[in-house]
Amino acid sequence: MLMMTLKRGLLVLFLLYFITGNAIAATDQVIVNSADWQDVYSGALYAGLEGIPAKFLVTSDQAPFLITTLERSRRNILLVESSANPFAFGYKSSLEAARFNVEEIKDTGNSRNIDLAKRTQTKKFIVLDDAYGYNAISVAPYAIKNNYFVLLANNLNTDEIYSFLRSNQVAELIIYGNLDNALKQKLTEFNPDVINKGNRFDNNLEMVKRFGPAQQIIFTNGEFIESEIMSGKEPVIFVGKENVPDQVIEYIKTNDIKTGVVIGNDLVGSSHLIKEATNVTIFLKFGQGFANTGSSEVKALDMFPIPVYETNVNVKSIQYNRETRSLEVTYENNGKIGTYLRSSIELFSAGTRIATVGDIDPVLVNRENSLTISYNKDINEQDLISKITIVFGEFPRSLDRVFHIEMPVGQISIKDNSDFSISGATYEVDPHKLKIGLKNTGEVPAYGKTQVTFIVYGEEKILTQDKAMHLDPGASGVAEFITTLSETNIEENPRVKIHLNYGERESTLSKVIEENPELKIKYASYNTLILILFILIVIGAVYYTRKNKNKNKGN
Amino acid sequence: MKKIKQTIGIVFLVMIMIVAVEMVSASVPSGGTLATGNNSTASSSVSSGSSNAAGGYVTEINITGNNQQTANWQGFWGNVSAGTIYLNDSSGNSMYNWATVVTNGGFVYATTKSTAPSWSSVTAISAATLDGGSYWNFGSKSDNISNTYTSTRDITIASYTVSGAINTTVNTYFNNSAVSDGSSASRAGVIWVGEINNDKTNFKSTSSDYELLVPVVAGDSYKFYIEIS
Repeated sequence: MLMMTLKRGLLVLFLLYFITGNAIAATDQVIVNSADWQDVYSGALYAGLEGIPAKFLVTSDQAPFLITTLERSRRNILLVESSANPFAFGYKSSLEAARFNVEEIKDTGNSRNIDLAKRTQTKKFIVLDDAYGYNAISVAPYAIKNNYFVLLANNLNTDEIYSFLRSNQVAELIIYGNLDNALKQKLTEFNPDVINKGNRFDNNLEMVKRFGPAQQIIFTNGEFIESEIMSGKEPVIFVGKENVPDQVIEYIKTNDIKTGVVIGNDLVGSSHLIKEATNVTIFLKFGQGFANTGSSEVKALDMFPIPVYETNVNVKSIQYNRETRSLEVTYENNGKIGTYLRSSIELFSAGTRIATVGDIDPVLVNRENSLTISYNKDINEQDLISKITIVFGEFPRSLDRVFHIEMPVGQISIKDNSDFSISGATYEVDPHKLKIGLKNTGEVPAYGKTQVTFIVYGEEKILTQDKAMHLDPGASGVAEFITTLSETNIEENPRVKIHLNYGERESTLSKVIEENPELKIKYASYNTLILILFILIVIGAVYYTRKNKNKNKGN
Repeated sequence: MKKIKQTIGIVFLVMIMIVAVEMVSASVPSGGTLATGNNSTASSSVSSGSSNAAGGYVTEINITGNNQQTANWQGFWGNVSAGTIYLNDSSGNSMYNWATVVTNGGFVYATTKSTAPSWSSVTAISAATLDGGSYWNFGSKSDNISNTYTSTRDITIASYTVSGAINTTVNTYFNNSAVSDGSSASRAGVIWVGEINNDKTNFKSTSSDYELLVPVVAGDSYKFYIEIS
């Protein structure tokens, strides 16, 4: 009897050891072995919510060294690893060889984000578009402090996110920043709180306000993950790489912020700007060192980069047109996204500054495109040198980059007799076309490039022609834009904003018209109606012919 | 029925045993893997060649027992002058352009705290306290903090003046101090302060702007800060 009991006990012991393994022990720390920023972010976020440390690899070389820096007392590791793109292969084995207990999560991109969300058991979520990685940084401190998990959405995982939320009894949901309209519509059933002030800096300041009072804050630019940013101890305020937007300076001045910690060695210039403008004490967190006795040079911090859209502007040409008495500056946007810029141009003659011109409001230059702006100024001097300072960025209120250039000013004498008018704006529902009517009302051939601004679910959308349209004198033309507007969007846009650059020279469209015409809606095109009528006639004819045949047969 | 009850009882006992074994295992610290490397401390008895700590990753050192004095301390050095700053990291990015950072007489700070110190709460802390059990626990060792930081001075951090901060001078040119940020009565609540003295010869006979001597326990990592002027 006793032997039977003992045998049974040993069998149970054997089975239990393999079934439960190390899962009984709670996770002590998180390690991320992935070249995908979303894995690093999700792993660090999870660790922050659980109140445990997280470390991440930034190169394969680092892999063996990182193990030596791990806290030995934290033996139970959750290893978040990319199956497609890890930095080190077999890292679980390496950690186990160092006598850590390792549970591995290994999956593809977004599912890992949701897997970790499930582990936290929280019912509070923030959803944002993973194309805007800086948004993930902006919300991280608030999320960790208030126990929200951040879901990273894109057009491939919309259904997965929706299903996950649906099955999770969502208590609170925040939609942060721009989000795909289809997903946004689906999420309305959870009564989300939407934060979208139109640009990353204003959105970020909204999160800082929600974080609550803080006398010490972190300054960064949202372009990398670093452990302090993911700690949730202080809110994060965005500063630009080279410039600090006005609203950020204003916020710092008007809220009781005494100390700031800048993370990011490239942000020293911005830090200095903040200090000069606000007198806040600023510390730069610039390096790290490891205890190995002896001595060593301080190393840079471990920072995992987040993909960003690079903005890139240049001045293609600057010339003074004696005929029109204006300075014509052609700006180039060589980046992949539309960029707003505002410039200040000093003009010098023989070393003496004789004039300063520039933009009051930011102007949009479309991606991989150029724009000429004409600044009226009476100048008689020759041999001019210009010093141009351009602040630029993704949005009008996020001009966080600076570009300086010094250039000689060319001299031309060209009259521009072009004249255009905008005849109207129409949206054709069936082919999804937004059409802007233009007319060359001048006496010379001319070019026009159209930009139209309208609203889609409360957010401003801008479409610009890539290439200018040529019109002969007296000719009319239509600038067409393919876009889908729902009935709701149509109601949002009783009028649209048109900005037309035009001129005699295609390279210098320095004249501008801005209008807000009523948006007329066409629900079916003329051709479609003709086609429908034709089909109806054919159907009617076939029906009538058959009816007659049957009648004759009967007779 | 009796057999079922017995089985359940055994299962319960086994589960308790497994948990107990896990708890015992967790409390026994396990050693890491030390790689033999190069030593850059003159007084060490390590037989390896010259230090290459400057160029690559931190080299772990296997002290072969004779001289224990260096086991408790580590020196960090570097440059923070305006201009191009070199900081090697795992990605190989090593160059940053600091247009203006801090003038001579400013400070470099180091702490084991994983998040930023509470700069507005800095106060003095005695060397004896730091030698105590809650901190580095050097006790009465000959190279303890009390025997290393032997003087005091007043220093100003983030506009707050700390009177009587413990102090020492490293390698003739570099004043080092230590203060508490008041956040915790542990190593993480201590900030080590290195005064900047531009372009002075350091222990390696090269030029640096600071040298900062910090106590270490195996596994410690320090984060470094500097105040923007």
